[in-house]
Amino acid sequence: MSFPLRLFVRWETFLLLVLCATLILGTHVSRYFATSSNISIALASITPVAIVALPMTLVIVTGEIDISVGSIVGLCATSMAVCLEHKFSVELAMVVGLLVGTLAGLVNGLIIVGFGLPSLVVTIGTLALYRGIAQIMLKERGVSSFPDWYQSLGFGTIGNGPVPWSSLLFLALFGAFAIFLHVTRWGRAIYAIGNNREAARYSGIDVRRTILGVFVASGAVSAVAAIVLTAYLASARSDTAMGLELPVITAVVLGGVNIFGGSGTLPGVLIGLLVLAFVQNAFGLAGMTPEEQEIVTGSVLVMTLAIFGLSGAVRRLWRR
Amino acid sequence: MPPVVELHGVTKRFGAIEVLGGVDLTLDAGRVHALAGENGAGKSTLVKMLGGIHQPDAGQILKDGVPIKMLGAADSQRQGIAVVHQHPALFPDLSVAENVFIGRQPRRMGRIDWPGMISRANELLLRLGVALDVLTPVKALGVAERQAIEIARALSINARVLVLDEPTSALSRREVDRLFELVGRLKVEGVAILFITHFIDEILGFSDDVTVLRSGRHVITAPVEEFTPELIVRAMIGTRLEAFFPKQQAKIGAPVIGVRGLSGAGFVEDVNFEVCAGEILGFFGLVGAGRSEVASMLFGIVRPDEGEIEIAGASVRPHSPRDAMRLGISLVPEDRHNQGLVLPFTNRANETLPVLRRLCGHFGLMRRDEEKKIATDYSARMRVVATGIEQVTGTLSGGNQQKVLLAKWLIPGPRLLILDQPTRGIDVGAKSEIHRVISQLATEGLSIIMISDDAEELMGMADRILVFRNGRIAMESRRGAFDREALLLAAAHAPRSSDAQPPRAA
Repeated sequence: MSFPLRLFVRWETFLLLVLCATLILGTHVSRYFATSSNISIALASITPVAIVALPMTLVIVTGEIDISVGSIVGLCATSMAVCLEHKFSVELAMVVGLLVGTLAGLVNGLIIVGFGLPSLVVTIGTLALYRGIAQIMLKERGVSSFPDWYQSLGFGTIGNGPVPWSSLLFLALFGAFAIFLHVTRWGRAIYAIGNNREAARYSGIDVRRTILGVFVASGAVSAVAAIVLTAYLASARSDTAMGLELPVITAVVLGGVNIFGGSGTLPGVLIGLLVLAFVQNAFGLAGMTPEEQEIVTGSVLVMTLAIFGLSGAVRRLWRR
Repeated sequence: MPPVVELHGVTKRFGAIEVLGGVDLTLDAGRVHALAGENGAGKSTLVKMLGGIHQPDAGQILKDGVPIKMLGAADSQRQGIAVVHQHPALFPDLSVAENVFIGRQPRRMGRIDWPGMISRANELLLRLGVALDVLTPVKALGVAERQAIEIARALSINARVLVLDEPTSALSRREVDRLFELVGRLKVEGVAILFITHFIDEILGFSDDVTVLRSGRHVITAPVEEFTPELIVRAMIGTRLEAFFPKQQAKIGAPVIGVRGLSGAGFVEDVNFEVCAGEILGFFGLVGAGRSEVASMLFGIVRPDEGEIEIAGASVRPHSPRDAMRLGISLVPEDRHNQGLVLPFTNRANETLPVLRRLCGHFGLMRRDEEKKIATDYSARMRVVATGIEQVTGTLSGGNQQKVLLAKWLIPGPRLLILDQPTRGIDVGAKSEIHRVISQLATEGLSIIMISDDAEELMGMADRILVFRNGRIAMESRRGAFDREALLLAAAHAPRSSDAQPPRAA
């Protein structure tokens, strides 16, 4: 796969430079930036986004998109909260959360594949649908009766160092997804579908089942993110993870995944996530409000797309 | 009075290939001029030149005796040249009236003058003798009515030249008669008409003058009275040197696949044939005659409405390409770029795409070494010229891409290999290498269906040829009894004139 590889090498180099620049800039912004506790905060705060970015990479490489991930995380968090309100054990609540997430992803996938509809529109619909269900289930209530061990999933660090437990969970998932996408036949099928759906079908690949699969994965892994996020926030509300899709898609696209599908790698996405984490962290330390950070994230997304679009246009001009 | 449009020695090259070389053509007011030629003779390039899409590299286009230059479709319209396509590109959600006047809607005070537009559209359709509600959205109309709209559009720009690019291929017999009647009215009004068709009886029945092109060259122009079907076919195919087809005699074995009463894909009807081990069965016919549709039904892409497919004595129904592959069928599709290959993939990844499952160990992990070995083997067998199996397929030449595609579909080890236009658009060297491979495969006992537009290629390669016309098998011919003229006549629907003996070269 030398074509995506070449692109990756170039983009990866560029991203690493950006990451270094961010880190240097960060130390200038605040003395506090380079401390172990700050790095741990930066990593812990990006982890839910990072976890959802893994299946999102698969979805986007396939040539689809899932806008509803934030709402699925919210719905899973709400389901777990309702379980806790009914005095179920937190373990059972986690299982329920995972089931709800998988089911939500399955519904997305079935609608998209079954009716042949564009995933962008379908998941905008389910974005509203899942969030609406969550709001009806939990109203304005917040649930924070999580046991201590559960909360340490979100905040606790390994040996009180800079690396949070949740990052370890992320790394395990990252390894599994990277192997799946880059070394198995299903990964190959995903790239084939993203590049040329018709040729994939003519090659005997079950395009519909593969697409269904990536949406189910998106839902199930969003549930994992819901567990990490509720642990990190030590509470679950119906508006948990509102707007999560923005940083997720930003990180994936920043990581070099073509928004039209067919190319991009998970190692690239990992660097994209780190850049995003430290940019947000540095701006936070500089005293920026979360609202202002939204502007930064949005701009990063649009600028990355513009760079890709421009480089494509330049390459086309060059060929002429 | 000078002719309305004249082409003088127009030449067009695409890269190194000359698709038109010094062609002359004269279109007179009030006459229908038919343009005939095989696929690749340069007909569509000539049409695109008149439509302003292509500009000649050499030669001149004269309008009313004055040289003109057309740099786009708008220029061509301004010169009063209107082109009607086989499948008109209209706006399906807009009404008939809007389509007729698209881009030139009559305006009043800055707004579209609807009453004016409707009445003028009605007037135009009346002149053509077409009864249509001009407010109907175009998506509700058939092909024949859509063509009528394009012709009405031509009228609305006061076209003096009307180019009909294979208008009848998609029409029924009755619709063809209507079209001719309609065009006849324009002819009476003094419009010059250029009529491109594959159907020889339409040329003879409808035109006043005939020009035949062959391989981008002008062969003959004469009034229609001087032609017989055989003369047209002979002018189309000429007396070319037999190309070199390295056909090796293969031992033909037992039937591998049998097809009975196959119908579907809209128009394929009652197709029956069988293919034996070691046999190359040729499918000949015009584009849209049903050859590729039969292939897609065998490969599980389109489900047949009726009929039976039998493999090794068992009745089968492939529902997907995957099913078909399990049954031992491989299809090298016609459209290399869209259906055949994933162009940004490496040759290795392209070649192994159909057999990923077989190349996997536990947990779906790809066995890289085995994958590389298979890809290397088959690339070598197909003599793919590349820097290696890791070269991106999209950067190869057309001929080498085709070899990669062939390798891709041989790796599953099929019983039946269907090749849809396997040598179209590739250079001569690669073509003969592919022919060599196909022939070799047959001697190894593979059954092969080879679809082609090129009668000569099939005559060189096939053991038997089926000629398709309008979704049916019109003729079957065996090796030894192949006759180019007969094949072309059967495909193009011309009744053989009984008195004229098929003339042999003196």
